Amino acid sequence: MSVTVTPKAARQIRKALEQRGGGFGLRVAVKTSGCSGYAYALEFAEAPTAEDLQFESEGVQLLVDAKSLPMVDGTQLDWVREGLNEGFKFNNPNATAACGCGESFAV
Amino acid sequence: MSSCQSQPNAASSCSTGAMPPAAPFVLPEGAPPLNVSDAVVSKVGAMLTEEGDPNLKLRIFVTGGGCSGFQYGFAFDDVTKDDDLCVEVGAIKVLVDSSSLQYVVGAEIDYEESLEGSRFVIRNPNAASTCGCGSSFSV
Repeated sequence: MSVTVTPKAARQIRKALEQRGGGFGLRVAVKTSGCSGYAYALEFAEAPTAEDLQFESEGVQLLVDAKSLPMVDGTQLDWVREGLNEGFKFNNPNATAACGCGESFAV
Repeated sequence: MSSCQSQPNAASSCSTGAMPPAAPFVLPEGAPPLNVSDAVVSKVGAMLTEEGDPNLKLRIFVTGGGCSGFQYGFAFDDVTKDDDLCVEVGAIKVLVDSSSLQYVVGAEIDYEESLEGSRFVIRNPNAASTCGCGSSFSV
């Protein structure tokens, strides 16, 4: 089981942590919401908790709680520019449907 | 020559041109057709400097698509069309064609930056519902 990031996403995560003034890494979680049932949530993490699984990818630390992991296992997090907007994109092999913007998904 | 309309209280030397054809939505009297936030002015200004072309304008358009039926689009354009509404605010110009304008008249255009990403957003009084991220809406 794992979650990975692309080099572009890793660069962005490092940049965001720097701007913030440090931190352990990025937490990737899943919450129930959005038009397709689930939505991704990203936040800065200070330290792993007992429920977390920890992955290192492209030099950045990623934390995923045990409940969220089955829904995001195998996901590659990318940083993409779409038109004038840019943001993280979740390439999630478990998702069977996704919202137009990719923020919400179904499994 | 300019068909730009100044936003109230915007420092601008732009002349006021003809309004586009009548839209089905009626704006409250005196309300601006679009509210452009300071964050948009500052971000677009920086992007134009990056592009090296100060004549580019921010075009906002509405197309069919997305999970709610319509979706917003943002692009840079150097051509102003006859049916465009042009709003000048600060150093930037925002264009909306008349068929898109009917869906976004009275809306607030903003630019949001967060950990997830940075994007242009529209807070639209005409939208009956929106997609999670706000890129799609229904009327």
